[in-house]
Amino acid sequence: MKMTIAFVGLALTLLVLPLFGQNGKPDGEDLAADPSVRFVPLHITLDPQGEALAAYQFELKTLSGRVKIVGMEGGDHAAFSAPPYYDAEAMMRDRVIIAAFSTELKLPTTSTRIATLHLRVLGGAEPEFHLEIKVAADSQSRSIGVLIRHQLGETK
Amino acid sequence: MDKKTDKKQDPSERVGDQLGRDLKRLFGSPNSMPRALDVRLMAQFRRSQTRRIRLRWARYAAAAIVLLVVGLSVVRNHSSSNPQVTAAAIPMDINQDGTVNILDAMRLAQQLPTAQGLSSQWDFNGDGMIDRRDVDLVAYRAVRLSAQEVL
Repeated sequence: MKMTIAFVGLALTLLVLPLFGQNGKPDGEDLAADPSVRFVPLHITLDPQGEALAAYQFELKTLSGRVKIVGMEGGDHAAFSAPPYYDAEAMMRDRVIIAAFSTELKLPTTSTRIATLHLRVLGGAEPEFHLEIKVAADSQSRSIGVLIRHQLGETK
Repeated sequence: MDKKTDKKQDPSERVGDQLGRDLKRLFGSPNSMPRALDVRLMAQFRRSQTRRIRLRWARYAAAAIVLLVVGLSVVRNHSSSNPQVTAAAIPMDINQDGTVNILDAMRLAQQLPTAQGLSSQWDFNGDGMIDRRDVDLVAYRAVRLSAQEVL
């Protein structure tokens, strides 16, 4: 008898759960139609200050604002034009590690956009970020001093 | 009282009256051994035991020293050998700096054109080849956040 009640309870729970899910805001297309949702690109620029940049790795953390990273693209320089490596699972959170390297002979030595993150921002508040460079090196894996900056692009 | 004591005694130690008398006649009373001789024998026995224990420990110590020397020489040979052909202690730590980051992926990518000298342990996807897909695996490992790190 107890087993039957437990089974019926479980079955009912499984039936009712999707209904609750529909009441909340799903992550799909419905959000795109929400006026409080906007899509903003975040450009990351790195200045190797005269050294040849062959590899970088940095961590980006959202300090404020309801932000989700929904896409990533490579930089301006041919050596870093491919989208960088990132953890797709971490992109669903507010913290992500982004990294790239190049084995090209011609490497950037001046300030260049290395990546652009496409963000989905909820609400009107301007999001704030913290960037921390973890690795910046030349082709011999020697550490080089770099300056990293970020800039929010035009809202779509 | 004597009977009780006799009962408690180990049956194997019980000696018949006749046998007891015969033994006494042959070897004398157990108390007849001089105490000095007893002490001297005991001391001699202890000295020999101590020497035996020391010898045993000396053997163990010698074996441990030999093992330590052999172990150290193996470790030294391992660390001084070419890093290009030696697998990293930490999986995917190609440059053996104790951490996996994008530099490990770059190092592996730089060595792909001369892939003959690469350790088979760098075939991370187990397809029998060390190629760009293995480099990608190292790079993805470098950017992965652990469960504790993800907020």
